Amino acid sequence: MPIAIKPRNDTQSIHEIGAIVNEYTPTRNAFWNTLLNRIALTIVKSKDWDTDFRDFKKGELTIGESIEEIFVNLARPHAFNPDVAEKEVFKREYADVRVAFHKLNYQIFYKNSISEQESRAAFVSWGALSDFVSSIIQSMYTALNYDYYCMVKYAICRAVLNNGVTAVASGSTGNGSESDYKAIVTTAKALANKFAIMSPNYNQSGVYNATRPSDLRIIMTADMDAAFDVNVLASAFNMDKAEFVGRRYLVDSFAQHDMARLAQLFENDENYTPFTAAELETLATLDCVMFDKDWTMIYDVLMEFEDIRNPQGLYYNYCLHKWGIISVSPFENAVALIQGYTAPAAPTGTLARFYGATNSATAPTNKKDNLGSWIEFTPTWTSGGAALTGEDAATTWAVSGNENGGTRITDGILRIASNETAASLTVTATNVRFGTTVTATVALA
Amino acid sequence: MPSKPSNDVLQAKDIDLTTVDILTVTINEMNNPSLERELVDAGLAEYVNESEDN
Repeated sequence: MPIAIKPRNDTQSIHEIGAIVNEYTPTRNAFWNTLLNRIALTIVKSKDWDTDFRDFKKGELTIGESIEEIFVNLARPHAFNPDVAEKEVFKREYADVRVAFHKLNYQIFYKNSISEQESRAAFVSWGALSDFVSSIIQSMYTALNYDYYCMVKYAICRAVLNNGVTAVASGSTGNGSESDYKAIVTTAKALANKFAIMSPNYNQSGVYNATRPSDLRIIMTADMDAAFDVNVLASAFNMDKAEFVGRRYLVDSFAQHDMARLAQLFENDENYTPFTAAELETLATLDCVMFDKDWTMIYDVLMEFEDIRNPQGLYYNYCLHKWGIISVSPFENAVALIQGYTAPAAPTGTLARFYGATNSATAPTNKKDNLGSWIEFTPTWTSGGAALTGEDAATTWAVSGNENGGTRITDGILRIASNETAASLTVTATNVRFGTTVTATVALA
Repeated sequence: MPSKPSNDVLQAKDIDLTTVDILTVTINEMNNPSLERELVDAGLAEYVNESEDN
């Protein structure tokens, strides 16, 4: 049957409770174990969901350590034409399904010790017990909240630098004047309106997507927020004050990061790249980031306390473990407003070929040898004399002219059906970021 | 000087649990009948009928 502590208005009662709890070692160990694992963990977990960037969290993964994000792009429209129907009626057409994986990318723990003296002193008075418990809880969740802020800010800034976010000129010059901030708000307002219209221009993957105004989220600097009355900002985004306040998030600065802390947090993460001085200069020109509420892919994977008593040193060691995923979606809309941003010139592309039929870059003498075989295309995108890499060089593929549905291209590899009847095929590579295309013709007869 | 246990809210911001609440929940979670009996016998706690809570 459960009990209720009957507090007396004196210090003697807490002394007596402490004496009963401490008189038998297994009971004392069980007391601290329960206090940490049930009470402290529950409070820290609830507080962990009460951070500045709490709305970016999607949930808790109870099974597995990765998220598979699937996006189905728009189906292709066809013009009605009975003449081609007899040839194309059984032709296959696959849905444009895109997949992104978000993996467990941070595993951290916080460690603390409770000495014998501290555990006994906790029962000196009601106030001492209160201070003692709160110090355990507060040290944990304050660290969790701060680290979550640091990691999310890092992930967003890294996405901006890696072109995971569409960059747009903000219209400001960075002098911090009122007119400068007004220019940013004007640009942001136009983008908020454009977000609501289906477009492939505002997400990393180039899929057709739209963001309703109610789903829009904005991260801006505290300086920018301070420069405006909140009503002015809210009306710029077609929201009322309360709505806007719930959807705008503040950072101290995009260019200031706790690098020492980040290095500790991502100590074992091979994908962590500290910001260089040049990158921080770029981030200093970042005015704000606007994105769909589903853009952030943030999940908790594990959070638990473990504790153990050292009988030799007479102290308890306890650890709070936190694992999670902090990532961004390539399919959801996100733009970065950057001072003086100019888009790189559209690149030109070339396609190199490797023939499966000859196992070389040389085409087979008999063109029909390509039937039932494959050709691998490798694109090279060049802008301003420099080869593009990473997201700038991301390419989508299409094949046309085929008369057999079995002929198709995936990731640059063209598989030609053995009974393909077309005399030639056209392969089109499209640079996702710039929309530039390059084509190649494959003769089969 | 006597402290005020019933109003002694934890200092951590936004934690609306009194020390007595924490102590009560912890001891109940321990599920240790002999400890509970000892506290009740010492007049430091009393048994609570679960149905009354509900």
